[in-house]
Amino acid sequence: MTWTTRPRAIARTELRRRWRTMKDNPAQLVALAFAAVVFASFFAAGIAGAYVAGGFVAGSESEPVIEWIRTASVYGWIGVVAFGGYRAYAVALRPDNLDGLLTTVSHRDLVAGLVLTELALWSALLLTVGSAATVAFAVGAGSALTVPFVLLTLCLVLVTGLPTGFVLALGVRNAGVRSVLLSRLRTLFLVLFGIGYFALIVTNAFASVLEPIYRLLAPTPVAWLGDLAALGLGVGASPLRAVGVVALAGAFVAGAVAALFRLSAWLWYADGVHVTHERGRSTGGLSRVAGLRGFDGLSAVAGRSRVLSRPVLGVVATDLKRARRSPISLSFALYPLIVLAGPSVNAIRAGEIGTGLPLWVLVSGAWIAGSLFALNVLGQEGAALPVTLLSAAPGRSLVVGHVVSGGLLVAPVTVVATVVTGLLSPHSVPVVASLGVSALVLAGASGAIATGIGVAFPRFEAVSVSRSTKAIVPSVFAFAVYSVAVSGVALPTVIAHSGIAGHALASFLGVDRLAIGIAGTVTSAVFACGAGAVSMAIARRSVGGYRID
Amino acid sequence: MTRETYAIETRALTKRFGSDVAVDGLDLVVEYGTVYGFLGPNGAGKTTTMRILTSLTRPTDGDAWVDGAPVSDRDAVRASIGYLPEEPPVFDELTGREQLEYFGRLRDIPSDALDRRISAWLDRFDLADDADKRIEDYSKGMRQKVGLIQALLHRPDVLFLDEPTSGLDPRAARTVLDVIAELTDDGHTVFLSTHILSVVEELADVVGVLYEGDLVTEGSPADLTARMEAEAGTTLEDVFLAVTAERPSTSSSPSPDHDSESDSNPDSDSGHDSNPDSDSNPDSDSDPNSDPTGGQTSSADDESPPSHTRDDER
Repeated sequence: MTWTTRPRAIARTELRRRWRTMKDNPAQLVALAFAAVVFASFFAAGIAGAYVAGGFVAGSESEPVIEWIRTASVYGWIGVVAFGGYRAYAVALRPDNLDGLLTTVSHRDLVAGLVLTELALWSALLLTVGSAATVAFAVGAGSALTVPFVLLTLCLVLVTGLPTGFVLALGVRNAGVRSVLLSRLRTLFLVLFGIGYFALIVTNAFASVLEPIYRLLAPTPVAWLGDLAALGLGVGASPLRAVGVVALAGAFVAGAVAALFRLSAWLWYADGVHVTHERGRSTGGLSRVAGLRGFDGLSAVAGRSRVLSRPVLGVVATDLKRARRSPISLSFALYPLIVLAGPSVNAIRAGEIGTGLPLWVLVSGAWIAGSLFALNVLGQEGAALPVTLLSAAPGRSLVVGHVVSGGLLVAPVTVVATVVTGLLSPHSVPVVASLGVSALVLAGASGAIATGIGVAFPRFEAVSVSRSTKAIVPSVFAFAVYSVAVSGVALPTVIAHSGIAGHALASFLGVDRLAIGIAGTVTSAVFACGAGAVSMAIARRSVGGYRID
Repeated sequence: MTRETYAIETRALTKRFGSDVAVDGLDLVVEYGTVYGFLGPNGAGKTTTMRILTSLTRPTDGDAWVDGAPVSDRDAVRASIGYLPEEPPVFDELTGREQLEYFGRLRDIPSDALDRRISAWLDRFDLADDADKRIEDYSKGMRQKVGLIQALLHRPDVLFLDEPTSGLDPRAARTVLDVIAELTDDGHTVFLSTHILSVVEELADVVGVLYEGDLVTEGSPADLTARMEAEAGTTLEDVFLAVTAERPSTSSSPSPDHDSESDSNPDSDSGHDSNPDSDSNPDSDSDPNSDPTGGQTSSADDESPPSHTRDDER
């Protein structure tokens, strides 16, 4: 047995497990096939671009070309580090059955196996495409000598970049495990990071973030990778730097491996910070509702209700409690916010809010309100389903309870956001009022619409919503059907209140814009209430008569 | 002067998590070739103790040795132990055979010996017909069996078993108990954590009861019951209930019948096996033909798991 035997065995098994997991998931296979088709065109374009670049380099002045190649090398290395860091943080450094593995092999073998897994996985892809691009570049440049040097550079970028990403991710995770502050605010940090990342994408501001990192690395041997890549081109690459970067890469990898060993031991054998969760209040009666810190206002509204029965209030209380304690398990409901991204960015860039943004706010709010709790009434009960079904009138309490939960939580926010953005837009106040009514009705009724769809297409198995959290979320099909239904119901409101269509309708019919808006609101309300009533009736009957097979 | 070597030894072993004391100055000694029954109510610190002894967790204070190696020397401890934690460490995507082959290779067991051992153990635990099915299709008991075989495949000197009969049907559980007994007959040491007192009563040479991090009593099952006989009764359950009774300083629990919606758990600290999901998974490892000193040469026959059973356990 050599020192690589165990890491190789771990890598082989990890790759086998990942392949089987993917193979057994048709949705993942379809996504992979789609990605392959999309990326194949990118790769083809990249290879063609490499050929063109080779020809360009062959006919260019030496001085700027070598600088371009050094710059490209630095940015390429940053990309691999970022990718390796992401993979390490999200996937690779969270092995299943950690205790079993650590009582069988050393943490050194384990982390080496995990890094080897990632190297094998991504090298296979990058080196295949990289080799093709390298050959194309060499042909374009008319220099066969370029091929070995560029390939060697690619290998060095991978074997130094991926471990560096791992080291950074281990550093971040160690900090998270040891810092009480980071541990408590983990969700907040992740949300802020996600918002920042999203903002970078929509504002196209990646360059402003990468520029300081590039400036930091440009004077370091990372840029010498460019000299190694360009050694066969005769464009002024420094042989000394090229040789130096190979030697330094060896030393760097040795240092990175030592750091990986140390940091992985710190992480995997850490006790972790001890965060004590607060105790729930226990005052009986409607206290389950009243005891929800942060939802006290909502709870009080529910608690004072003479309409809602005690079982329904129990469902509402539990929904709100689960939402507060594990918001990440409801992250699926944030997808509708994507439709807000474009209009929001446009508003920020333009410095003013158009007539469209309030409508997008309204639609996405109503969309979220229904999907949050009501789109998987049966499935989200999880292990409690048998007990729930044996309770008194489960159809009524579950269905109504989940509808009320989503409405209580999201409808006020939707109405306020719609009205505020409406008032800041060119819409008149009466039209904004009409929009507000629409927001209230749709956000309140979308949950009712969701219930019937959810019981028709339930999902009972938990899925990973983050690496460390599993949750039972609505099925993709239910979500798609529900999205279409909500869009259809909201369509009259959207058309009637939109700048172009609403104006055209008003002109065509010879009536006031407000009348068109009100007509749209009333139509949507009728649709929503009708669809909601039918859907809820189906859901109540289905839940009441549900049998576990 | 050399320190006498025990299979397991702890001195003033302490583990704190922030202000919470999980293990409080634990002193215990486990002789080679014995079964140590480690009892305690939920949350008593049993799992933490096992994690320290398997080198997965660092103690805050005190010392511990396993097979003569300090628990700080993870490489040495790892080589001596087999561990079946509460949740069997198996991969759903692998078949039972692949799982065992994987961990056998990680343990550096030669291929031919590994194949023989796996086949023998699969037969012994009645898993041979399902060995090539994915573990994701296994029942809880089958997963437990695979985890157990995995823990004893490399013939460790010291086995840490956390509720090894959890999820097993009576016949499989009987096999596990027989295997544990045979292991100790061959000189292996078994550190057995369980809530099933009859298992401990049957197998354990020494029983230690942990309560709120303290080892509140220790002795052979016969000794312990004899000590309690005058005031409580004659069973190990009586002993357990007596030594883990609510301490005066601890606030009393509300009645399970009272009409409140508090979060209190009426089962907590009761001493009964009321919560099957927590802290209750004894593991066993059986390989009677291995040499606990590591000096015995294996023959082909040595790869076979034991097949005899104790008549008095039937």
